[in-house]
Amino acid sequence: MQAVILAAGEGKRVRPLTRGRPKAMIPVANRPIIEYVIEALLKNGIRDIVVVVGYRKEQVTRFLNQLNIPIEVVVQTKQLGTAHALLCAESKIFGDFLVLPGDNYIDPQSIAHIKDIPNSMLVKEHPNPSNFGVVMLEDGCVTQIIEKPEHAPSFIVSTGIYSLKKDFFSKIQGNDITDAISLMIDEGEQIRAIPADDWQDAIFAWDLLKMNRRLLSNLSPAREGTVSRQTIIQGAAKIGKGTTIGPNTIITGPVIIGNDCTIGPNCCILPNTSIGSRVTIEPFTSIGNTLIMDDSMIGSHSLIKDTVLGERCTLADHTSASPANGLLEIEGCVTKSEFGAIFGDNVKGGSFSLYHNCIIGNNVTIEEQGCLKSRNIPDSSMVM
Amino acid sequence: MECVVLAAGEGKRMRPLTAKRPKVMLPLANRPMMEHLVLAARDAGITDFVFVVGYGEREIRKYFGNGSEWGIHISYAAQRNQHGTADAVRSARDLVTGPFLLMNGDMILKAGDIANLCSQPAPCMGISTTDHPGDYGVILEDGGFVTSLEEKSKKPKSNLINAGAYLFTQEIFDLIDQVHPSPRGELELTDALAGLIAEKKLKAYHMSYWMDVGHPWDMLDANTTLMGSLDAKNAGTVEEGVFLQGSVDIGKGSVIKSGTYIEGPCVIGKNCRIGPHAYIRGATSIGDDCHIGHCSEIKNSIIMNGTKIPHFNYIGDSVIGSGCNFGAGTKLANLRHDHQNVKVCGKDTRRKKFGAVIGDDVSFGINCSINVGSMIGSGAQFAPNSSIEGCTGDKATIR
Amino acid sequence: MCGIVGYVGRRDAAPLIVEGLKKLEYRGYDSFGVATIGKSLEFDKHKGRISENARSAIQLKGKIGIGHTRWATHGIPNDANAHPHMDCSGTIAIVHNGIIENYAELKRQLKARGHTFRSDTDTEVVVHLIEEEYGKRKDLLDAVRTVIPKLEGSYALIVIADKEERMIVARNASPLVIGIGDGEIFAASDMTPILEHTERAMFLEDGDIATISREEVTIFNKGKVVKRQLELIDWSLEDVKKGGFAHYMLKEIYEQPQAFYNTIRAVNLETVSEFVRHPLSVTVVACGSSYHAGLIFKYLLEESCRVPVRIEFASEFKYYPPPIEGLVVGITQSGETADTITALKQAKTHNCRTLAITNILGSSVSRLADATIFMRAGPEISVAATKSFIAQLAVLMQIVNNISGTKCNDMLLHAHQSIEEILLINLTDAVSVCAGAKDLFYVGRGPFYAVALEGALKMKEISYIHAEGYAAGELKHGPFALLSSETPVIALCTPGDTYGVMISNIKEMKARGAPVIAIGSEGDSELPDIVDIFIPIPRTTPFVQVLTSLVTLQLLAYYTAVALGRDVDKPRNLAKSVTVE
Repeated sequence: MQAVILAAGEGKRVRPLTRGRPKAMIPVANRPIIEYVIEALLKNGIRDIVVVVGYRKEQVTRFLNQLNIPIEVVVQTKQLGTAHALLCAESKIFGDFLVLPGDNYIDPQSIAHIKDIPNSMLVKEHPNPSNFGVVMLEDGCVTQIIEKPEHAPSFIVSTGIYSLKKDFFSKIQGNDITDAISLMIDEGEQIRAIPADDWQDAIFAWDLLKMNRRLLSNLSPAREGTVSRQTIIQGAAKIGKGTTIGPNTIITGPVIIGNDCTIGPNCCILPNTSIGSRVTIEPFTSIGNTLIMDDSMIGSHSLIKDTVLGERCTLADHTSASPANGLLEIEGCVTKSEFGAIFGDNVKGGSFSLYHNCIIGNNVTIEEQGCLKSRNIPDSSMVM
Repeated sequence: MECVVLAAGEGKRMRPLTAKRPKVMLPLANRPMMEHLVLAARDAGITDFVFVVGYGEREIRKYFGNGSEWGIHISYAAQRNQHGTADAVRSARDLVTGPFLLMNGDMILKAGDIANLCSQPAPCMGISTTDHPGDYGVILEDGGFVTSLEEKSKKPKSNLINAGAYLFTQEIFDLIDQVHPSPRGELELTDALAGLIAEKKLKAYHMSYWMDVGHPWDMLDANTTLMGSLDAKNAGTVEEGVFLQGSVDIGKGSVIKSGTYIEGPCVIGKNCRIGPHAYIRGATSIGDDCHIGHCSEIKNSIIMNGTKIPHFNYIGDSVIGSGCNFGAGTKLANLRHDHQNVKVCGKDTRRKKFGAVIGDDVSFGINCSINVGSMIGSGAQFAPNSSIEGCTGDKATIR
Repeated sequence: MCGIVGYVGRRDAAPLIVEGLKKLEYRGYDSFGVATIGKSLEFDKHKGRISENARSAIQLKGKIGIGHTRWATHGIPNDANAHPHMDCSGTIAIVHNGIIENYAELKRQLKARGHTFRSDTDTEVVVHLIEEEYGKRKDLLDAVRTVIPKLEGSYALIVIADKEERMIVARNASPLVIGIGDGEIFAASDMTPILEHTERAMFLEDGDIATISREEVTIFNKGKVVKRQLELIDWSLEDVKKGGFAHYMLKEIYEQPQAFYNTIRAVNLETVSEFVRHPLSVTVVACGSSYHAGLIFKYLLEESCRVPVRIEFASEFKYYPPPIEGLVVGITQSGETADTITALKQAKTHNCRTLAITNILGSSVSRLADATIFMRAGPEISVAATKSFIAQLAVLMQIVNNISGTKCNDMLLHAHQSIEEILLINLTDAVSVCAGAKDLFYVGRGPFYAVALEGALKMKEISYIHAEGYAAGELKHGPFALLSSETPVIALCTPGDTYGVMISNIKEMKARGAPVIAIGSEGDSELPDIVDIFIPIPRTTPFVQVLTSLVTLQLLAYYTAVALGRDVDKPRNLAKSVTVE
């Protein structure tokens, strides 16, 4: 059996995190989302994998190259839609195959449910179905898919994961897979809807925190690097090679920390925190429910909660990012949300700055004593 | 009859013990696992061996040489890239000339079974039964022939498994040539056998005894079994006031000092210093150049070469690599308070009592506590009084 | 400058030799050939690359064979000049790496004695000489031993003959390794073709002649049997797959942040000898890109540590009696560059301490130098050096950092971030200007002069556009005559001492009508207004801007070459490693 993973789209709604990588390459619990998809396929014995790349394709390819299984890469030059992306892989597909979005988490068991049933799709109940393709069912078969309806008639949504036959390619007309599926239904073909056990999509950047929480819940603890005897580690913590944890630091799992980091002394790392590689956390800083990517630095006496921090950011001392409610405009839509802050890559934050419910673009510089609440700061700005 | 032994893999599931040696060189009753197999084959009348080596090949070549020490002849074939079992077999091509026996190097067999397998008409597969067939190639048998072979099935159809011992003719090399590599470029022997199985041409031979070692904790059972037939021997020095019970084998140059109490079966390698006042019990094997000192107790454990457990230590139901040093008073727990099976890194050991798996060259400061089910990577270092549990990677440090 | 492989053993030789040659393609890819001893001597040789034309070579029968991949020195690349070369009777075959300097004289004599030559190569004389002696002595080893003293120059050669179950090898000043397998023995220019089969190797020395059968190797030197140490080679086979990248070069460009970081982490000067850490003066010898790395090193070391640095092309180093003293540093990615090796040998005769900087464990240079620092670039396949260059700079910057008292630790540990950042750059406009040009000028000052040289080198080697790197101030002294609207100038203009004068230089060039593409710091308010295309790189320290501007120029060269449809990874007439002088 073959599988096609679609990883060509940028994922505009999770900007600013997609400047240097497509959404599928955003690290959650320290591994790009697409790696979980590949792992789930491998666990089902599916090794013949084709990945469609497009936006920032070199970043994806570089990552795929370093996996220890060969993965076929095809390029979608213009991101016109999922069906168009799938067509790019047509010449590599010889029989029944799976299609999966590269930017959603899926558990291996769900793939086992669907892989032997051609013409089927994985579906899942979702409390906010309006952001997805809503699926209408009858006797376990799909009768209709409604893309992003304002008033959803059902809570069951499509996960974008399909098990298909080779002849599906001949049915593709529009640019999206759902169009082709609707056409098949109209022609009287049966598409089985199979419930997924666990599936996670991050529509907006702050949804990554939920995905992070979910993926950290099955973390297996392991300890490398150098840890002080005065460090207290409770729960599942995974600490990478070359990382140094200073005295009196308290780590409460689940927490994952990458390689070559320097943390503490006297820091507090609270549950559901992922810290990438080469990150420095200075003394007396407390971090919880947060996702920090590689090469960032957080100054001393900071409080970071419910926050996503991109690569190569520097937040000076006494930074406070903590959750608040607010309304933000994302890609032209006003959206209600509650989180601390989303920082893009290469942000320089001054000392004594406060962030509540804001999105800070890439390469932004914030002067000291900034106070930002429910703001969306565009890339490369300077905040005085 | 010629015999090909596959010994090229690292045996990743045996990490961290494989840092310095391949899996087949892990000691059981103070001999490499593969030596037990080779001795059994020799006793079954085989004198010409081809070892297919790869990971850690230096260790194997250095230990076995040309085989003259065992009265056998060994030639080698290197499989430097691990491209699957069929590829490994293929690397022995032209080194065997007639029908030959093929065996995985990481299992224990009895000489009688090997002799019987050799007298079967080729091709023939040795099969065995197990209570966890899902971890192996599960087979179905009909009228003495293998009729189905399914690798690592989630729903095994029987408890009969492929034991990893075969009798082949030169024809197998042609069958291997016909196998198309899997998408990841690997050639599996079982794919080469598919045709034979479909045509009902692969004989099945039931092995009366078969044991394989999948995980570090399985070494303890294998160790116990192999020491069942141990004879008491003393090539070293036993001081006055030493109490030896059961079969205890003491290697050349080893000294057992006064007040030491040893309950066999126990095997002690060369040039060890044991005691005074050491207490060793259960099926324990201690490698060469070890030091078990005053008031240290070792129970049902495997201790590899050059490890020092010198003062006030307790080690129970554990596998300890070579070159480790235990600070005074460092002890290890081997029983859970809830009496459940011990888990190591989330894997069930299926043992109520298990201590720790400790890699090579690990140093413990004084009075460290190692919790039940710990796994410690090679070269790790721990400051005095450290409390150690869970999985610790290679070269990890607590300071 | 070629790659050779030989095999005697239990398996079919041809497929093994073809696989081995593919690994040696970095030494040349003009033509290739294989000869085996089957029922009789069989051969197959072609102009072109082995990866594309090896189908018939694999079919050759026999368990003894030799192979060759060529970078043409004597005679154009064609089928006839491809090795192996045969004697008149077609029963003896030879492959050769190196140059026979007295071949013309020998050829005249042989022709006079009635030998027919089929090629224009220097190599062919050797096989005809062997033919004569073999006819007299009926012993291949004796024949080769008689012929060798007549040869002048450099050679690693392997000879096989019909009805002989062995191969004879000889080496002088060209590398040759023997790999001892199980019931099979290999010979090759370096370890890469052998590693897959065995980890046990013997490195031959100059003047060695050896006879190699399935089971044993006997080595002679000056008529006596000698023993060479059997070494266990520790390197693992690194997988080099292009994956989804269009070219190895792009893949390697994207691997640069990792290569830089790994090298910075791995190079620990504490473990390197004292003489490296406290040199009184330094002489750098290198070729090509490595020379440019040395030039950057010169600026950095002199500026930060006040240690005088001399830099020489390795190929020029030997032509005058150099008053060398202090530390001599040889930089070579492959560790096999003939000129650099000769220069280091010469330094040793002057009792200088030598340091080699190379990417390849066990390479010739690492066995020669007093100390070696390995960069951690990983295997580099593309002919144009990218990540190995960045890794060389990492080593050199780490040396500067160390001598200056680890002042730059922090900056070096974070420099990879800026390289990562630069990979996101958009060069579309600059690429279209460059792709349309016949000539390009690259200018810079200080260390950026070296960057300009390297940028120009990258551009010419892969896009075949004539590109010249100049020190910005030198342009006025002649080259200005060439400037016109047809000659775009790529100017490196970053903040610092040179900024003001660079701005004036750019204005002068603009005044002569040349389109200017400038690489400058983000947020520069003056530069974008005076140039045609402005390429911003992150505002960081000069050390790091050297790296980021370099990577920008690599990408510019790459995308220009792609736009022009060039064979980026294997540009015409070149080879990855230059093993002849």
